[in-house]
Amino acid sequence: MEEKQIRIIDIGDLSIICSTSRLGEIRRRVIENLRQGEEAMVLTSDPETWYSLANLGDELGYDVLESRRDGNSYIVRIRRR
Amino acid sequence: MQSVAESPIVEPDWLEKNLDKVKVVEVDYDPASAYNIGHIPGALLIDWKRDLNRYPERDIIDEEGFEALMSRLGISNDDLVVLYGDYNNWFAAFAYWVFKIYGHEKVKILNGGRKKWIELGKPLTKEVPQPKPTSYKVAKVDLTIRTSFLDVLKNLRNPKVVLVDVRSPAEYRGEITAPPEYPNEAAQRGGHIPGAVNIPWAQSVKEDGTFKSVEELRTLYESRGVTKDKEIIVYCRIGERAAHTFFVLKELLGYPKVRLYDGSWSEWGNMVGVPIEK
Repeated sequence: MEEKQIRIIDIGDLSIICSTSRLGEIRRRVIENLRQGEEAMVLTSDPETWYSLANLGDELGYDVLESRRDGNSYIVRIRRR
Repeated sequence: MQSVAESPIVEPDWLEKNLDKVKVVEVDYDPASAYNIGHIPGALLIDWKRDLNRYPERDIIDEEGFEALMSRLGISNDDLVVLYGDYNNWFAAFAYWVFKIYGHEKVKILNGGRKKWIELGKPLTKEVPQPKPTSYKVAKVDLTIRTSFLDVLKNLRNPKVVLVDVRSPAEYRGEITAPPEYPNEAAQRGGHIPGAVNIPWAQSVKEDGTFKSVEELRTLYESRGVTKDKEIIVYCRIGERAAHTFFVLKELLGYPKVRLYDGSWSEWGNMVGVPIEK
């Protein structure tokens, strides 16, 4: 039986990038790398980036399947629509 | 330890308990992925690009613009305003500086900004308040905390003046002229203003985005020659990170003469004929 591999994308801390748009960065670093229906586990160390990831699904075209914190890591599991 | 009334910062726990006593304003560079998806209950929005800058000139809003902004937000001259925002409070600190220029004395910054509030699991809402407009009047304008290209140029070799470049070491050394995500905002040349010391803004905060202790901050700046007896000029690329350091030096450390060069590298690095160091 083929094991389903979930892609892991670590986007780091978007809040230290000077004068950029988180929306654009999430689109570029995450969404554009996923095929339609593909799932990904997105990791960040920044709570603000995490909150954005967990709440921008409609704007960027993905479903949020899970959103949680694990110590200093923040995790959002998404599926591209 | 300073009381809340004396301190230029408020802590998240204090703010949560006092939301009905202050005007909370979120200052965002990118409201679409910040304020619009969740903000502190009752918080108003200042969109840095739209509300604090004057177009087509490259300048901050003028006195009338500030009055109009405050009036639209329902802020009165006597209100205690607490600013916080995205991107490590950089733009909140810039707004703080603008509030000070236009003489609004009762203004503070939320320690750790949006990042810390979220990390602590404090409440957020999408509900946008509808403030009753006021008739705000600017009582005084203080331009002693702002400096210009010509003033910086004039003071290049002045031993009483210290220039602090708060950008990343790579920007300071001229290896990059703008973040890779925004190549159009690059300056023509890389490097730094001659004589400037490089103390990146991030050295003034802990990992969670809250400010380091006053003792740690004093050691950080004094060890690099940035002392209270000097006139300090801070700059970065467009002024927002430098505003963060302005706040640290002026308000947390109480340095009497601190000025923000908001033209910063995007002005200096594009000027014809001015000296540059790498």
